[in-house]
Amino acid sequence: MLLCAAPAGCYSVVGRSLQSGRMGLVGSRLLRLYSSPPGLDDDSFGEDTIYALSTSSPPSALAIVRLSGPDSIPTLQKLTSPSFKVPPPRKMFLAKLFHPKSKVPLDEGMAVIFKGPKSFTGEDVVELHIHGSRGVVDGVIEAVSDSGLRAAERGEFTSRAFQNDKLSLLEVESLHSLLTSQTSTQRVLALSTSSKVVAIYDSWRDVLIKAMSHTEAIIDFSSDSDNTDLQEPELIYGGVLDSVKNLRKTMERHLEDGYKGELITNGVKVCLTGLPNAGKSSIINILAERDVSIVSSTPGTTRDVVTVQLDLGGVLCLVSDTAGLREGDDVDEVETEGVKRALRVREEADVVVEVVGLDGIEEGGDGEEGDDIDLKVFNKADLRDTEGNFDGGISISCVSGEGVDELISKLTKVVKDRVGNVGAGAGAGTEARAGENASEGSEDVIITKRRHREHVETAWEALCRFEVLALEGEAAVDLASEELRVASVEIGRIVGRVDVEDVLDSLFNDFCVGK
Amino acid sequence: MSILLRSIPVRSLSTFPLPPKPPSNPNILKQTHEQGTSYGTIVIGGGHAGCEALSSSSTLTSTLCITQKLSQVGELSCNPSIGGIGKGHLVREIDALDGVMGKAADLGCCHFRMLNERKGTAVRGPRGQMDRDLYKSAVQSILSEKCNLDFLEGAVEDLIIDFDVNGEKVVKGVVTNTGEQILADAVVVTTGTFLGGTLMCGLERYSGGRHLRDSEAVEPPSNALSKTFRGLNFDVGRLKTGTPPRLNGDTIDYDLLEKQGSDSEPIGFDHVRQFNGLRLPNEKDFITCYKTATNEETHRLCLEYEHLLPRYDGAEGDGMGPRYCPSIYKKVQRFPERTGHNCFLEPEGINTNIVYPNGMSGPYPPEIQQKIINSMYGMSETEIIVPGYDVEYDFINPIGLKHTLETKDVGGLYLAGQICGTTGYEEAAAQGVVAGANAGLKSKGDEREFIVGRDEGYIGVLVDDLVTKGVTEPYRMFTSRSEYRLSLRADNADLRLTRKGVEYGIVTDDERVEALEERKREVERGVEALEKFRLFVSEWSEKGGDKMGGTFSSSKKKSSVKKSAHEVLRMPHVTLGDIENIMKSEDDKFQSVSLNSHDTVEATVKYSAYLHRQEKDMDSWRKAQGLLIPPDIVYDRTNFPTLKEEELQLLKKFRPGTLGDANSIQGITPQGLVYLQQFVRKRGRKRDRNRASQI
Repeated sequence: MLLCAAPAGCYSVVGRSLQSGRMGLVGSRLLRLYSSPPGLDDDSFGEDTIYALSTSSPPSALAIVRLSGPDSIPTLQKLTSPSFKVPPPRKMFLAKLFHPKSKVPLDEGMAVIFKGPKSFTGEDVVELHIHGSRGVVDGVIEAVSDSGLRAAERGEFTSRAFQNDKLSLLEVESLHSLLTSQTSTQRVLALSTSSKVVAIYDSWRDVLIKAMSHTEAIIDFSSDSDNTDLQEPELIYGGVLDSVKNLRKTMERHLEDGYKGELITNGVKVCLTGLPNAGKSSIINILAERDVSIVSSTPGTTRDVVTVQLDLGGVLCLVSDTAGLREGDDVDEVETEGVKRALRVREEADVVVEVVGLDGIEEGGDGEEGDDIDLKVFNKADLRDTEGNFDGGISISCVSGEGVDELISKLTKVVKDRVGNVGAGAGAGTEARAGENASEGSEDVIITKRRHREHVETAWEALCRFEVLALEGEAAVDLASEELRVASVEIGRIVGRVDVEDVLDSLFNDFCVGK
Repeated sequence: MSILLRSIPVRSLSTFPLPPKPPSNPNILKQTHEQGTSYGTIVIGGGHAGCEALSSSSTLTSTLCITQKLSQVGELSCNPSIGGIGKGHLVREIDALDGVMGKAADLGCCHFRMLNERKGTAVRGPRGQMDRDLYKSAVQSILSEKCNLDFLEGAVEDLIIDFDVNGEKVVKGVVTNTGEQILADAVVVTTGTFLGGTLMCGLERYSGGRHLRDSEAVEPPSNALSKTFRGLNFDVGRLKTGTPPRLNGDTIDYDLLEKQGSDSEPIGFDHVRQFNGLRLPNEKDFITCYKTATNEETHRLCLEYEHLLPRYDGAEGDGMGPRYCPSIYKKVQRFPERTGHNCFLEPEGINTNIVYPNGMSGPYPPEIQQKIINSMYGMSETEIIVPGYDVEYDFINPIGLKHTLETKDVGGLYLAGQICGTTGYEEAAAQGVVAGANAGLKSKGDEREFIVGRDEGYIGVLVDDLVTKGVTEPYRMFTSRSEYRLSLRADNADLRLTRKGVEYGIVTDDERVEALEERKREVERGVEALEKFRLFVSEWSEKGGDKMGGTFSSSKKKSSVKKSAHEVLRMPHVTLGDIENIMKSEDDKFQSVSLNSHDTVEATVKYSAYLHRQEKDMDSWRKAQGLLIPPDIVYDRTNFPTLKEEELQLLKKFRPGTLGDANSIQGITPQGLVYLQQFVRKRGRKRDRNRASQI
């Protein structure tokens, strides 16, 4: 069984695959199972071909892009030159990859094919082993996508393997647990998801179901018995308006939780930024306790983004070293690209750490200004005869090790503040009364997955519309109660009070794409 | 709704063969069965389920009706009305499938209201008050015109059960009380309250299925058949229902009471009649209903004489009755803080002084019923003509049925109506259509199954709820039972179902199909006209007030934008009538949508965003439905080593037909589902391989 090297690798892809339509894939394939005529090759029901990056997100030394489905081998042909001969299965071959349309060269890598059913998924599989820089990986993925392949849904490789009898459910389940729970905080979150959070979602659903029973009674019974005039929203909806409004606000608070739950699951992105030669690479090497980034006294040494995984106080962090920020005539093309990437990483980061070299402070001033900076580090304290801290920052020396512990503890604090008070407090008790005004700050993080967030968002939107429709009184009671139904179905989908297709989907949704 | 009748040339009225004043005991149906004749289908019972089963089955195969009294076919045993919220949807769907109820209800109608008129189109419920005699005559005339349909007055004592080549039980016919064996390929049982029926009034209990309306006689129950079902090991339970006393309307002081008139533009149920632009036949004779209420004295009486209420078999002596149609005693008991409950006084027809007090069932001894009635406002002098009574009867838990309403244990045996645990004429009739159609298909050797999906109609919701969830109390239809409520409306029943009826051979009326096609075109034209008609937002608010300009009129910039009538109608408070008035004022030649399609056009536009979403939900539902579980799966440890014992028990008990059904069983885990799904899939493949190797 092929597993990716580091589970962190899938995170950047997860978001994309989710946006491209979550539902229905597993179900539609199941449907085909039943209608497939006898005699047909049993193992070839996935008619479309999928791809995903199967290794951790770039940059890395190597990356593997995996294709699965009937078109995977023809796609390999498309990506190579016409003279390229498709290798026999299970043999690694050198493959020069080009964009299928523009013919721009992408990388010189290796390719291996597995003929179905003797493959992980049971379908024809191609693995492209390429260089792990972001540019190469992005380019190859774009080329594969342009060849007409579809990005895999989360867990779709596993799902296909399961469908093709390549994995038993038990194996699927153990694969799942193998891939989860990296750090202690993640474990806490996983535990709380099982009981407390479900209780919260259920309590939301109870509020909605109560509200629905009220509006449904107006629809199904008011004409039967007491024919009171119901023109005023208050008369129709009674206490329902308030309880729905409170629930909507509760949802809002959770939606605006700074994505804490997802941060824990996916890892907090920390970016080291600063001017060239400030010593960012030295700091990442110290944090990683190994040489991951090349260090030299020449400004502009770091070009590409180097990322390491750290466990800071139980929180998974992805710390990235980036190129120093500068421009000018003496900056070559490669470095300019490096700066571009550095800025992109900084933008996407959850925590930005600015590194200022104390040796350069006279020329560069106080370093780069930015309101996104969470922590300032004055490096190379050994080169300067100054005492103490600078302007709320930490002064450290990578050479003498001075201040490093303080840096780690400060950074840990920043990261922990970012993910909040997960799993602590008596949140469930507060949430059980979702209809009331739960006080802010006492709430647990409950949205831990992107899928959950999407459902809560859809439910929230429905409740917003409900409140508008409710103002129309009796005339819109049909639409208003439809909105309540939508909201309750969405919340139900989070905790698995769902129809069979969703159950199967959600089982496979908990896997990383490309596994 | 202000509605104009479409000025379409009036076709012949010959489709309405009713005499103006029928005898109260019509002799329309004659015994036509000849000894020795065998049939495709035998239908036991002539109530609302039976009549629809007769109608749909006889379009497909030779059919025999066996009922105790032919003159009682189509009798409204309880309330004199058809339709209502949710129930009206069912009647419209039955009519879209060329059933009996919608047509008969229009012919018997003597008062009509569109319930929930002021609420959205999807939740409106057409409801007609019936003249009992006219309704019954109409049902009987419609059935008497069917070819392929024989009648036999008698009782069925037993079913003839045989075994097929696979050793499975199949029904082969019935044995009547005269000992005659009548053979058939399919038997539909629609025994209503007659199966093991016990009538109760006060502490008196006596065997019977129903009181006759016009005599003191009681119709006997079907006790022999009840024994047959118990002998076949069906899951038999007891349910009860009740009917209020009938009052002498001449002794009610109407002057003191609030009137409730009919709608001025009664719409009715029959699609073909509406298409022909015909009004309801009895409109000029429509009656008025009145409203009274109980008071504290009534409630005191109800509680004082509680010890004189019957003891039942079910629910430890309390009886399991319809929660949503409680007796007056139950209402008083459950809502002690209420000082009054409404009671509608509904005349039972055009030429009768008999009045039905809706909501006043309560099987006290007759003299107590009299006291209770006299305690109400305007009724101090009111006489009871016939006292109310309760009936407790056998039902078969519908968990044991397939979606065709065929029993899982006995091939060719179908159940419909109260025997499946439902309450209400409309619910019974809806099942009758399904059971009759499938019985007919089966005896024709047609392997197709007539199943209405949850995404196609309330009939589908009803049957699906029954056979997948079972019944613990009498099941009544509500609009909230449908998850696709905005799509399944009373106004579009024909668009949803008539084609399907044609496909399965139960709709054979060309005029009905023509009506459908014309309506389709009209709705399309109507929606298109709304899309094309555009005005500046400023003009919309000028002509239609703020509500038409919407929030846009507030901003200068936005008011210079044009909006189509389609967009404006999508705002919740705007009606199609409002829009049409503006369109008329802009264009003299503009023709508003006919009454016949008004609601459909309005709903199509108003709900458009929602309908799109529901269509997606429906798709997902359909996919799940596609995952069929073969009925012969053995749920044991050998096949399912990984399932929990309780899951195996549940699967054994419910024997779900699809993975969707399995999922709706409480206690089946997602893991269990996946194992089940995998087992089914692997078995299917193995079988395919074997088949392939044989070829």
